[in-house]
Amino acid sequence: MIIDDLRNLKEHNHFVVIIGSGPAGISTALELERKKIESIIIEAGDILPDPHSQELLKGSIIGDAYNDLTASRLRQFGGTSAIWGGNCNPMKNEDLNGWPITKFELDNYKKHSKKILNLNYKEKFFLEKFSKNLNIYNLVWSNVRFGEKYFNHIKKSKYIHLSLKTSFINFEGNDKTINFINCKKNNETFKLKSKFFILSCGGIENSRLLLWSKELNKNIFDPKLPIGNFYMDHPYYNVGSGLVIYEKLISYFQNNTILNKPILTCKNNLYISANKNFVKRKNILNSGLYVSFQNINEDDNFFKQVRCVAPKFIKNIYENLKIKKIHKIDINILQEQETIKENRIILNNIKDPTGIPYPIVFWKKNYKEKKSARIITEDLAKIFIDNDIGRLSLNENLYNQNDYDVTVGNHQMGGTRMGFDIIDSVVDKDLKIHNLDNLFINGSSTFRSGGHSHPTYTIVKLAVRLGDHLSKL
Amino acid sequence: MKKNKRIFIKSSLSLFLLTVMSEPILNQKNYFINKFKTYKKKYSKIWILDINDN
Repeated sequence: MIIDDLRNLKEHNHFVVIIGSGPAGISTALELERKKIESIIIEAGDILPDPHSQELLKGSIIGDAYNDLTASRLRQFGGTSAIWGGNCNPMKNEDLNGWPITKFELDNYKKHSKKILNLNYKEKFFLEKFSKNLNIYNLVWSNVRFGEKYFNHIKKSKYIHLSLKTSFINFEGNDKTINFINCKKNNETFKLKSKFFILSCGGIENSRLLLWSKELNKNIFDPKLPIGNFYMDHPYYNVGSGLVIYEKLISYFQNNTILNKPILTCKNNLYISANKNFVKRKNILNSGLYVSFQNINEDDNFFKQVRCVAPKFIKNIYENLKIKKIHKIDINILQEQETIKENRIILNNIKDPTGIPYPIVFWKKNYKEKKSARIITEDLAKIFIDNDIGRLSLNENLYNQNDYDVTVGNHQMGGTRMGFDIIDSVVDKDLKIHNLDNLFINGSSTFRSGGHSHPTYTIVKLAVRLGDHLSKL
Repeated sequence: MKKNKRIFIKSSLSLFLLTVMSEPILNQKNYFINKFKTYKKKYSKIWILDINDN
């Protein structure tokens, strides 16, 4: 139900207070509802975004070029899912290295997560061997915009209460327990009591609000908590291009019994990643190569270029092939980023109109990302040569120390990562802050590593798991 | 020659002071201007070829 006036709730003691209504917050509330447990979600934005509210998402970047923080996040009901692409690939076993939970534990929540994300069981994720070192996989898509899909559901719900345009101010409590939060709605301050509190405001906001809370409440938060450290995103950039003979690619699939239909047509992109052993052996970061196809003919400049650099390869095509269907391919890469302490979130001296400091994000690329891109793409190039499928050209910047342009996936991860102890993590395996009794963190800020899959599916699985965990307490 | 040197030192010093003093103001003004780049730059290519390709 929608709460217009928080005064009616003053004496109400909700079981769970969820701060933030993005995919993580809503998924936890839905799981709690399934278990017939009441929760209240407070959302600083409205149903739709407004420029004034978006201004509060400002922040500055130190380091390499990074996307504008007001453009890559939304302060509204449903959060950034209103502008997300919808990719829902799972993280693999090896992506969860060092996490205090296993993929098996996460997969227990697959069924309900898929339901929340409208993931059809027909659209299955597959990962198959492409060569000794590389795998081929598909992308699975969700059409869910959390704001659109769940507003009416929550409006009618007996168990989920939603208060829009309600800004979190701070936590209050004693020793190791949060007793209530202060929040502001229509210029009036309210206290919300609860047994459990969940901070669920997104990759950067979780760290920002926690850093501020730690500064305000030195008696509640352990000063050793490494909040804001190990921030990550997914660097995305072009690594090269090439020429591919369609017939040869098809026969390679057939010879290697790669029979899944989505990859047999060049209408679709080809998605290739390194397998576990290759990543370990070469000490590289896992990456997804996004290979896109484009029809070209002999008059195309790119074809002429290949004819110059590899005349015998082109001659061979014309002498030996009946159908000369040639494609130009472009290869982009979406990469896991190495978790380093220097990539972090801290608080600025300048405060937003609600009195909370804006964040400063330190973000830098790492040489290992470039090295990983080069090794994986070179391996693909070798397969193309060995099987006469095509020839690839890699961008020169992969071979030198020069700076290179990247954009990012806008997948803000880390900052309040999970782990076994307070030395290198903020939350435990149940997403509860170390040395605190009843404050939980929800969302990608708890990721220990980013893998190369888009994070939302994992965010939802973790959120459902958190709902399930709280229902058992 | 001496006059020119004096002028040069004076102007460099004033330019330096101006830069130093205006830095906090400039910083504040540009505080939230974030950089955003995409990979539009065209890089030189390195072809990975077979020994018999050319």
